[in-house]
Amino acid sequence: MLKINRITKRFKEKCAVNGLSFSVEKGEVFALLGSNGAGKTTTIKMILGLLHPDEGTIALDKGVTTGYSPDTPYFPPFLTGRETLEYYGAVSGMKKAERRKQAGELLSLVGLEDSKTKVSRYSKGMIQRLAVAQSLLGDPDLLILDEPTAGLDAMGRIEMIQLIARLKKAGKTIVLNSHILGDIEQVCDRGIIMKNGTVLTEWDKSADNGGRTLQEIFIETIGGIE
Amino acid sequence: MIAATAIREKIRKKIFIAVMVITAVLTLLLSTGSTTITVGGEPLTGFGIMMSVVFTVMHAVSCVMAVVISLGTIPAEYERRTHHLILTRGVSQARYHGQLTLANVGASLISHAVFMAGAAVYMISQGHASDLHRLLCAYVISGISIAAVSCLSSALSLTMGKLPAGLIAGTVTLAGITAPLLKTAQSMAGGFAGKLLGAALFVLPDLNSIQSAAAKLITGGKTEMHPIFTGLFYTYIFVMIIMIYKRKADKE
Repeated sequence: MLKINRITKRFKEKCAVNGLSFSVEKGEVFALLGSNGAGKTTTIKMILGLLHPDEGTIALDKGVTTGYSPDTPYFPPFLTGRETLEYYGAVSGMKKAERRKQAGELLSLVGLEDSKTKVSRYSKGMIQRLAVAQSLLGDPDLLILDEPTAGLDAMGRIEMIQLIARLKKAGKTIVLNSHILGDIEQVCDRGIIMKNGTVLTEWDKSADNGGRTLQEIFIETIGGIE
Repeated sequence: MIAATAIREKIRKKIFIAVMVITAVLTLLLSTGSTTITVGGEPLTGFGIMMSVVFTVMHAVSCVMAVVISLGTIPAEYERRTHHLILTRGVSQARYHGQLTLANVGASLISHAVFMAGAAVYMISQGHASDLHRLLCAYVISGISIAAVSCLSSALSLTMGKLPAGLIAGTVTLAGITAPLLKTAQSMAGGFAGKLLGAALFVLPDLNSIQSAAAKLITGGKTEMHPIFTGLFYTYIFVMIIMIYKRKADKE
Protein backbone atom coordinates (compact mmCIF):
# COMPACT_ATOMS: atom_id res chain seq x y z
CA MET A 1 0.00 0.00 0.00
CA LEU A 2 2.85 2.40 0.90
CA LYS A 3 6.38 2.17 -0.51
CA ILE A 4 9.13 4.45 0.72
CA ASN A 5 12.22 4.26 -1.45
CA ARG A 6 15.52 5.81 -0.29
CA ILE A 7 14.09 9.11 0.88
CA THR A 8 16.38 11.82 2.21
CA LYS A 9 15.44 15.11 3.87
CA ARG A 10 17.92 17.77 4.91
CA PHE A 11 17.32 20.90 6.97
CA LYS A 12 20.28 23.18 6.24
CA GLU A 13 23.27 21.21 7.55
CA LYS A 14 21.26 18.56 9.39
CA CYS A 15 20.18 15.39 7.61
CA ALA A 16 16.89 14.42 9.32
CA VAL A 17 16.17 11.40 7.12
CA ASN A 18 18.92 9.65 5.19
CA GLY A 19 18.13 7.12 2.47
CA LEU A 20 15.18 5.59 4.33
CA SER A 21 13.29 2.71 2.75
CA PHE A 22 10.39 0.58 3.98
CA SER A 23 6.99 -0.59 2.85
CA VAL A 24 3.64 -1.08 4.53
CA GLU A 25 1.23 -3.75 3.36
CA LYS A 26 -2.55 -3.55 3.39
CA GLY A 27 -4.15 -4.44 6.72
CA GLU A 28 -1.02 -4.33 8.84
CA VAL A 29 -0.05 -2.07 11.71
CA PHE A 30 3.45 -0.76 11.11
CA ALA A 31 5.59 0.88 13.79
CA LEU A 32 8.11 3.68 13.47
CA LEU A 33 10.46 3.37 16.44
CA GLY A 34 13.41 5.42 17.57
CA SER A 35 14.65 7.97 20.04
CA ASN A 36 13.86 11.69 19.74
CA GLY A 37 15.45 13.12 16.61
CA ALA A 38 15.51 9.75 14.84
CA GLY A 39 13.51 11.20 11.93
CA LYS A 40 10.14 9.54 12.61
CA THR A 41 8.03 12.70 12.54
CA THR A 42 9.85 14.04 9.48
CA THR A 43 9.09 10.73 7.74
CA ILE A 44 5.41 11.03 8.69
CA LYS A 45 5.27 14.60 7.40
CA MET A 46 6.73 13.47 4.10
CA ILE A 47 4.17 10.66 3.79
CA LEU A 48 1.44 13.25 4.43
CA GLY A 49 2.87 15.66 1.86
CA LEU A 50 3.59 18.37 4.42
CA LEU A 51 7.28 18.06 3.54
CA HIS A 52 8.86 16.95 0.31
CA PRO A 53 11.86 14.60 0.24
CA ASP A 54 15.06 16.01 -1.26
CA GLU A 55 15.76 12.59 -2.74
CA GLY A 56 13.87 9.32 -3.13
CA THR A 57 10.20 8.56 -3.66
CA ILE A 58 7.07 7.92 -1.62
CA ALA A 59 4.49 5.87 -3.45
CA LEU A 60 0.96 5.16 -2.31
CA ASP A 61 -1.12 2.63 -4.22
CA LYS A 62 -3.55 4.25 -6.62
CA GLY A 63 -6.61 5.72 -4.90
CA VAL A 64 -5.28 5.22 -1.38
CA THR A 65 -6.53 7.91 1.00
CA THR A 66 -4.85 8.86 4.27
CA GLY A 67 -6.05 9.95 7.69
CA TYR A 68 -3.77 11.62 10.22
CA SER A 69 -3.85 11.95 13.99
CA PRO A 70 -1.20 14.42 15.25
CA ASP A 71 0.94 13.98 18.36
CA THR A 72 -0.30 17.16 20.05
CA PRO A 73 -3.79 17.70 18.67
CA TYR A 74 -5.48 21.06 19.09
CA PHE A 75 -9.18 21.50 18.51
CA PRO A 76 -11.26 24.68 18.95
CA PRO A 77 -12.18 24.48 22.65
CA PHE A 78 -15.66 25.94 22.20
CA LEU A 79 -16.76 23.11 19.91
CA THR A 80 -18.19 19.81 21.08
CA GLY A 81 -16.68 16.54 19.88
CA ARG A 82 -19.49 16.17 17.34
CA GLU A 83 -19.06 19.75 16.07
CA THR A 84 -15.31 19.16 15.75
CA LEU A 85 -15.83 16.10 13.57
CA GLU A 86 -18.47 17.89 11.51
CA TYR A 87 -16.07 20.82 11.06
CA TYR A 88 -13.27 18.59 9.74
CA GLY A 89 -15.81 16.70 7.65
CA ALA A 90 -16.83 19.99 6.06
CA VAL A 91 -13.17 20.91 5.48
CA SER A 92 -12.79 17.56 3.71
CA GLY A 93 -15.70 18.48 1.46
CA MET A 94 -18.16 15.95 2.86
CA LYS A 95 -21.88 16.57 2.45
CA LYS A 96 -23.78 17.69 5.57
CA ALA A 97 -25.84 14.50 5.99
CA GLU A 98 -22.78 12.30 5.48
CA ARG A 99 -20.61 14.16 7.98
CA ARG A 100 -23.38 14.07 10.57
CA LYS A 101 -23.76 10.34 10.12
CA GLN A 102 -20.01 9.71 10.28
CA ALA A 103 -19.53 12.02 13.27
CA GLY A 104 -22.06 9.99 15.28
CA GLU A 105 -20.55 6.66 14.27
CA LEU A 106 -16.96 7.72 14.95
CA LEU A 107 -17.77 9.28 18.32
CA SER A 108 -19.39 6.00 19.27
CA LEU A 109 -16.34 4.07 18.02
CA VAL A 110 -13.91 6.10 20.14
CA GLY A 111 -16.22 6.19 23.17
CA LEU A 112 -17.12 9.88 23.10
CA GLU A 113 -20.86 9.61 22.64
CA ASP A 114 -21.62 12.54 24.97
CA SER A 115 -22.35 15.15 22.36
CA LYS A 116 -22.86 18.11 24.70
CA THR A 117 -19.42 18.32 26.32
CA LYS A 118 -17.13 21.00 24.88
CA VAL A 119 -13.57 20.10 23.91
CA SER A 120 -12.35 22.54 26.57
CA ARG A 121 -13.64 20.07 29.16
CA TYR A 122 -12.02 17.03 27.54
CA SER A 123 -9.17 15.16 29.22
CA LYS A 124 -5.94 14.50 27.26
CA GLY A 125 -7.11 10.97 26.58
CA MET A 126 -10.44 12.18 25.21
CA ILE A 127 -8.67 14.69 22.94
CA GLN A 128 -6.38 11.96 21.61
CA ARG A 129 -9.39 9.74 20.93
CA LEU A 130 -11.12 12.64 19.19
CA ALA A 131 -7.94 13.12 17.10
CA VAL A 132 -8.12 9.47 16.04
CA ALA A 133 -11.84 9.89 15.27
CA GLN A 134 -11.17 12.87 12.98
CA SER A 135 -8.46 10.86 11.20
CA LEU A 136 -11.12 8.25 10.40
CA LEU A 137 -13.45 10.74 8.69
CA GLY A 138 -14.08 9.68 5.11
CA ASP A 139 -12.99 6.11 5.92
CA PRO A 140 -9.34 6.49 4.77
CA ASP A 141 -7.36 3.44 3.65
CA LEU A 142 -4.19 4.36 5.53
CA LEU A 143 -4.13 5.79 9.06
CA ILE A 144 -1.09 7.61 10.36
CA LEU A 145 -1.10 7.91 14.14
CA ASP A 146 1.66 10.08 15.60
CA GLU A 147 2.24 9.38 19.30
CA PRO A 148 -1.41 8.59 20.06
CA THR A 149 -0.58 7.61 23.66
CA ALA A 150 1.70 10.59 24.40
CA GLY A 151 0.87 12.27 27.70
CA LEU A 152 -1.88 9.83 28.59
CA ASP A 153 -2.31 8.23 31.99
CA ALA A 154 -2.48 4.43 32.36
CA MET A 155 -6.23 4.26 31.70
CA GLY A 156 -6.00 6.60 28.74
CA ARG A 157 -3.23 4.46 27.24
CA ILE A 158 -5.21 1.27 27.70
CA GLU A 159 -8.25 2.83 26.02
CA MET A 160 -6.12 4.06 23.10
CA ILE A 161 -4.44 0.70 22.59
CA GLN A 162 -7.85 -1.00 22.68
CA LEU A 163 -9.06 1.49 20.08
CA ILE A 164 -6.10 0.81 17.78
CA ALA A 165 -6.66 -2.92 18.22
CA ARG A 166 -10.33 -2.44 17.20
CA LEU A 167 -9.23 -0.50 14.11
CA LYS A 168 -6.76 -3.24 13.23
CA LYS A 169 -9.49 -5.83 13.60
CA ALA A 170 -11.66 -3.74 11.29
CA GLY A 171 -8.94 -4.11 8.63
CA LYS A 172 -7.36 -0.68 8.79
CA THR A 173 -3.76 -0.18 7.66
CA ILE A 174 -1.94 1.87 10.27
CA VAL A 175 1.44 3.53 10.57
CA LEU A 176 2.08 4.12 14.25
CA ASN A 177 4.73 6.35 15.75
CA SER A 178 5.19 5.76 19.46
CA HIS A 179 7.87 5.82 22.12
CA ILE A 180 6.07 3.28 24.25
CA LEU A 181 7.47 -0.09 23.22
CA GLY A 182 4.94 -2.07 25.21
CA ASP A 183 2.12 -0.41 23.25
CA ILE A 184 3.85 -1.12 19.96
CA GLU A 185 4.39 -4.75 20.84
CA GLN A 186 0.71 -5.17 21.68
CA VAL A 187 -0.79 -3.83 18.48
CA CYS A 188 1.87 -3.70 15.74
CA ASP A 189 2.77 -6.43 13.27
CA ARG A 190 6.04 -5.03 11.97
CA GLY A 191 8.19 -1.96 12.28
CA ILE A 192 11.55 -0.33 11.88
CA ILE A 193 13.93 1.02 14.50
CA MET A 194 15.44 4.28 13.33
CA LYS A 195 18.42 6.35 14.39
CA ASN A 196 19.76 9.51 12.73
CA GLY A 197 17.28 9.17 9.89
CA THR A 198 18.24 5.65 8.85
CA VAL A 199 16.86 2.17 9.54
CA LEU A 200 18.97 0.30 12.07
CA THR A 201 16.89 -2.84 12.05
CA GLU A 202 13.50 -4.19 11.07
CA TRP A 203 11.22 -5.85 13.58
CA ASP A 204 8.57 -8.45 12.82
CA LYS A 205 6.37 -9.77 15.61
CA SER A 206 5.73 -13.04 13.79
CA ALA A 207 9.44 -13.68 13.10
CA ASP A 208 11.83 -15.56 15.36
CA ASN A 209 13.23 -12.85 17.59
CA GLY A 210 15.26 -15.27 19.68
CA GLY A 211 12.88 -14.93 22.60
CA ARG A 212 13.74 -11.26 22.98
CA THR A 213 11.09 -8.66 23.70
CA LEU A 214 10.84 -5.54 21.54
CA GLN A 215 12.34 -3.55 24.38
CA GLU A 216 15.41 -5.82 24.42
CA ILE A 217 15.77 -5.60 20.64
CA PHE A 218 15.41 -1.83 20.82
CA ILE A 219 18.11 -1.40 23.48
CA GLU A 220 20.48 -3.74 21.64
CA THR A 221 19.91 -1.91 18.37
CA ILE A 222 20.13 1.64 19.65
CA GLY A 223 23.25 0.73 21.64
CA GLY A 224 22.30 0.88 25.30
CA ILE A 225 20.13 3.26 27.25
CA GLU A 226 20.84 6.78 25.99
CA MET B 1 -16.33 26.78 7.40
CA ILE B 2 -12.70 27.51 8.35
CA ALA B 3 -13.44 31.24 8.41
CA ALA B 4 -16.65 30.84 10.44
CA THR B 5 -14.91 28.71 13.08
CA ALA B 6 -11.94 31.10 13.22
CA ILE B 7 -14.33 34.06 13.75
CA ARG B 8 -16.06 32.17 16.56
CA GLU B 9 -12.68 31.61 18.17
CA LYS B 10 -11.65 35.26 17.71
CA ILE B 11 -14.73 36.78 19.30
CA ARG B 12 -14.15 34.69 22.41
CA LYS B 13 -10.79 36.35 22.99
CA LYS B 14 -10.23 38.95 25.71
CA ILE B 15 -9.65 41.57 23.03
CA PHE B 16 -13.38 41.59 22.35
CA ILE B 17 -14.13 42.24 25.99
CA ALA B 18 -11.75 45.23 25.69
CA VAL B 19 -13.68 46.42 22.61
CA MET B 20 -16.96 46.20 24.56
CA VAL B 21 -15.53 48.07 27.53
CA ILE B 22 -13.98 50.87 25.40
CA THR B 23 -17.27 51.26 23.51
CA ALA B 24 -19.31 51.34 26.69
CA VAL B 25 -17.03 53.98 28.26
CA LEU B 26 -16.95 56.17 25.12
CA THR B 27 -20.70 55.88 24.66
CA LEU B 28 -21.38 56.70 28.28
CA LEU B 29 -19.09 59.72 28.18
CA LEU B 30 -20.65 61.05 25.00
CA SER B 31 -24.25 60.30 25.82
CA THR B 32 -24.28 61.97 29.22
CA GLY B 33 -23.71 65.34 27.54
CA SER B 34 -21.20 66.32 30.17
CA THR B 35 -18.24 65.71 27.85
CA THR B 36 -16.84 68.59 25.82
CA ILE B 37 -14.11 68.30 23.22
CA THR B 38 -11.95 71.38 22.81
CA VAL B 39 -9.67 72.34 19.93
CA GLY B 40 -7.24 75.19 20.69
CA GLY B 41 -9.17 75.92 23.86
CA GLU B 42 -12.44 76.40 21.96
CA PRO B 43 -15.15 73.86 22.78
CA LEU B 44 -16.63 71.99 19.86
CA THR B 45 -20.36 72.28 19.69
CA GLY B 46 -23.00 71.06 17.30
CA PHE B 47 -23.97 67.55 16.37
CA GLY B 48 -22.15 67.50 13.01
CA ILE B 49 -18.77 68.51 14.41
CA MET B 50 -19.09 66.25 17.45
CA MET B 51 -20.16 63.33 15.27
CA SER B 52 -17.15 63.84 12.98
CA VAL B 53 -14.83 63.76 15.98
CA VAL B 54 -16.57 60.69 17.43
CA PHE B 55 -16.38 58.93 14.09
CA THR B 56 -12.69 59.79 13.63
CA VAL B 57 -11.83 58.46 17.09
CA MET B 58 -13.86 55.26 16.64
CA HIS B 59 -12.39 54.65 13.19
CA ALA B 60 -8.85 55.07 14.56
CA VAL B 61 -9.53 52.69 17.46
CA SER B 62 -11.12 50.19 15.05
CA CYS B 63 -8.01 50.31 12.82
CA VAL B 64 -5.74 49.59 15.78
CA MET B 65 -8.09 46.79 16.87
CA ALA B 66 -7.95 45.34 13.34
CA VAL B 67 -4.15 45.10 13.65
CA VAL B 68 -4.38 43.44 17.07
CA ILE B 69 -7.10 41.02 15.98
CA SER B 70 -5.49 40.05 12.67
CA LEU B 71 -1.86 39.72 13.65
CA GLY B 72 -1.97 36.43 15.54
CA THR B 73 -4.43 34.27 13.63
CA ILE B 74 -2.19 32.73 10.96
CA PRO B 75 0.94 32.32 13.17
CA ALA B 76 -1.23 30.66 15.86
CA GLU B 77 -2.49 28.10 13.35
CA TYR B 78 1.10 27.13 12.52
CA GLU B 79 2.28 27.18 16.15
CA ARG B 80 -0.58 24.90 17.26
CA ARG B 81 -0.04 22.79 14.11
CA THR B 82 -3.71 23.09 13.28
CA HIS B 83 -2.59 23.48 9.67
CA HIS B 84 -1.61 19.78 9.56
CA LEU B 85 -5.25 18.71 9.83
CA ILE B 86 -6.32 21.22 7.18
CA LEU B 87 -3.56 20.90 4.59
CA THR B 88 -3.61 17.07 4.73
CA ARG B 89 -7.29 17.25 3.70
CA GLY B 90 -6.41 18.62 0.29
CA VAL B 91 -7.05 22.26 1.17
CA SER B 92 -4.57 24.52 -0.63
CA GLN B 93 -2.51 27.07 1.28
CA ALA B 94 -4.12 29.85 -0.76
CA ARG B 95 -7.62 28.76 0.30
CA TYR B 96 -6.55 28.18 3.90
CA HIS B 97 -4.82 31.54 4.28
CA GLY B 98 -7.67 33.22 2.41
CA GLN B 99 -10.21 31.76 4.85
CA LEU B 100 -8.17 32.83 7.87
CA THR B 101 -7.85 36.34 6.43
CA LEU B 102 -11.59 36.38 5.85
CA ALA B 103 -11.99 35.51 9.54
CA ASN B 104 -9.66 38.36 10.49
CA VAL B 105 -11.61 40.83 8.35
CA GLY B 106 -14.90 39.53 9.73
CA ALA B 107 -13.79 39.78 13.35
CA SER B 108 -12.33 43.26 12.74
CA LEU B 109 -15.60 44.41 11.16
CA ILE B 110 -17.56 42.99 14.10
CA SER B 111 -15.29 44.97 16.43
CA HIS B 112 -15.88 48.08 14.27
CA ALA B 113 -19.62 47.42 14.37
CA VAL B 114 -19.52 47.39 18.18
CA PHE B 115 -17.87 50.83 18.11
CA MET B 116 -20.43 52.02 15.59
CA ALA B 117 -23.18 50.78 17.90
CA GLY B 118 -21.74 53.21 20.45
CA ALA B 119 -21.90 55.99 17.85
CA ALA B 120 -25.50 54.98 17.11
CA VAL B 121 -26.41 55.31 20.80
CA TYR B 122 -24.85 58.78 20.75
CA MET B 123 -26.87 59.74 17.65
CA ILE B 124 -30.10 58.54 19.24
CA SER B 125 -29.31 60.37 22.48
CA GLN B 126 -28.83 63.57 20.44
CA GLY B 127 -32.20 63.14 18.71
CA HIS B 128 -30.81 62.03 15.34
CA ALA B 129 -32.32 58.55 15.21
CA SER B 130 -33.67 59.30 11.73
CA ASP B 131 -30.06 59.56 10.44
CA LEU B 132 -29.06 56.06 11.54
CA HIS B 133 -29.15 54.80 7.94
CA ARG B 134 -26.37 57.32 7.19
CA LEU B 135 -24.29 55.78 9.98
CA LEU B 136 -24.86 52.36 8.42
CA CYS B 137 -23.56 53.61 5.06
CA ALA B 138 -20.60 55.24 6.82
CA TYR B 139 -19.90 51.91 8.51
CA VAL B 140 -19.75 50.17 5.15
CA ILE B 141 -17.37 52.79 3.69
CA SER B 142 -15.11 52.93 6.75
CA GLY B 143 -15.18 49.12 6.75
CA ILE B 144 -13.01 49.28 3.62
CA SER B 145 -10.22 50.87 5.59
CA ILE B 146 -10.67 48.33 8.43
CA ALA B 147 -10.55 45.49 5.88
CA ALA B 148 -7.39 46.96 4.30
CA VAL B 149 -5.66 47.15 7.70
CA SER B 150 -6.78 43.61 8.58
CA CYS B 151 -5.56 42.20 5.24
CA LEU B 152 -2.25 44.05 5.58
CA SER B 153 -1.73 42.62 9.09
CA SER B 154 -2.68 39.13 7.86
CA ALA B 155 -0.28 39.36 4.91
CA LEU B 156 2.58 40.56 7.09
CA SER B 157 1.96 37.89 9.75
CA LEU B 158 2.08 35.27 7.00
CA THR B 159 5.37 36.42 5.55
CA MET B 160 7.41 37.36 8.64
CA GLY B 161 7.64 37.08 12.43
CA LYS B 162 4.88 38.43 14.64
CA LEU B 163 6.99 41.27 16.09
CA PRO B 164 8.23 42.80 12.83
CA ALA B 165 4.78 42.24 11.31
CA GLY B 166 3.18 44.08 14.24
CA LEU B 167 5.65 46.95 14.05
CA ILE B 168 5.17 47.41 10.30
CA ALA B 169 1.38 47.02 10.43
CA GLY B 170 1.17 49.41 13.40
CA THR B 171 3.37 52.02 11.70
CA VAL B 172 1.47 51.83 8.39
CA THR B 173 -1.86 52.09 10.21
CA LEU B 174 -0.72 55.04 12.31
CA ALA B 175 0.64 56.78 9.21
CA GLY B 176 -2.63 56.09 7.38
CA ILE B 177 -4.75 57.49 10.21
CA THR B 178 -2.57 60.59 10.60
CA ALA B 179 -2.03 61.21 6.87
CA PRO B 180 -3.10 64.91 7.07
CA LEU B 181 -0.49 65.53 9.78
CA LEU B 182 2.16 63.86 7.63
CA LYS B 183 1.12 66.02 4.66
CA THR B 184 1.56 69.13 6.81
CA ALA B 185 4.93 67.85 8.02
CA GLN B 186 5.95 67.13 4.43
CA SER B 187 5.18 70.68 3.27
CA MET B 188 6.99 72.11 6.31
CA ALA B 189 10.03 69.84 6.06
CA GLY B 190 11.03 70.20 2.40
CA GLY B 191 14.31 68.75 1.12
CA PHE B 192 15.12 65.09 1.53
CA ALA B 193 12.86 64.62 4.56
CA GLY B 194 9.98 66.16 2.64
CA LYS B 195 10.63 63.88 -0.33
CA LEU B 196 10.81 60.88 1.98
CA LEU B 197 7.48 61.77 3.59
CA GLY B 198 6.01 62.40 0.14
CA ALA B 199 7.11 58.94 -1.01
CA ALA B 200 5.67 57.36 2.15
CA LEU B 201 2.36 59.16 1.66
CA PHE B 202 2.28 58.00 -1.96
CA VAL B 203 2.83 54.35 -1.06
CA LEU B 204 0.89 54.01 2.21
CA PRO B 205 -2.91 53.68 2.27
CA ASP B 206 -4.58 56.97 3.20
CA LEU B 207 -6.96 55.63 5.86
CA ASN B 208 -7.88 59.12 6.98
CA SER B 209 -9.35 59.99 3.58
CA ILE B 210 -11.55 56.87 3.65
CA GLN B 211 -12.71 57.80 7.15
CA SER B 212 -13.41 61.39 5.99
CA ALA B 213 -15.43 60.12 3.04
CA ALA B 214 -17.45 57.95 5.42
CA ALA B 215 -17.92 60.73 7.98
CA LYS B 216 -19.27 63.05 5.29
CA LEU B 217 -22.08 60.58 4.70
CA ILE B 218 -23.24 61.17 8.27
CA THR B 219 -22.87 64.92 8.31
CA GLY B 220 -24.34 65.38 4.82
CA GLY B 221 -21.18 66.55 3.03
CA LYS B 222 -20.07 65.49 -0.43
CA THR B 223 -18.35 62.09 -0.35
CA GLU B 224 -15.25 61.64 -2.48
CA MET B 225 -15.02 58.31 -4.28
CA HIS B 226 -11.27 58.29 -4.94
CA PRO B 227 -10.17 57.27 -1.39
CA ILE B 228 -12.77 54.49 -1.38
CA PHE B 229 -11.43 52.97 -4.62
CA THR B 230 -7.86 53.42 -3.39
CA GLY B 231 -8.77 51.54 -0.20
CA LEU B 232 -10.33 48.74 -2.23
CA PHE B 233 -7.22 48.60 -4.43
CA TYR B 234 -4.93 48.25 -1.38
CA THR B 235 -7.17 45.52 0.03
CA TYR B 236 -6.98 43.69 -3.30
CA ILE B 237 -3.16 43.93 -3.33
CA PHE B 238 -2.90 42.57 0.25
CA VAL B 239 -5.31 39.72 -0.54
CA MET B 240 -3.26 38.85 -3.64
CA ILE B 241 -0.09 38.63 -1.52
CA ILE B 242 -1.90 36.30 0.90
CA MET B 243 -3.17 34.08 -1.91
CA ILE B 244 0.13 33.89 -3.79
CA TYR B 245 2.59 33.59 -0.91
CA LYS B 246 3.62 29.99 -0.13
CA ARG B 247 4.57 29.45 3.46
CA LYS B 248 6.75 26.48 4.35
CA ALA B 249 4.22 24.19 6.03
CA ASP B 250 6.88 22.71 8.30
CA LYS B 251 10.48 23.47 8.99
CA GLU B 252 11.48 20.25 10.71
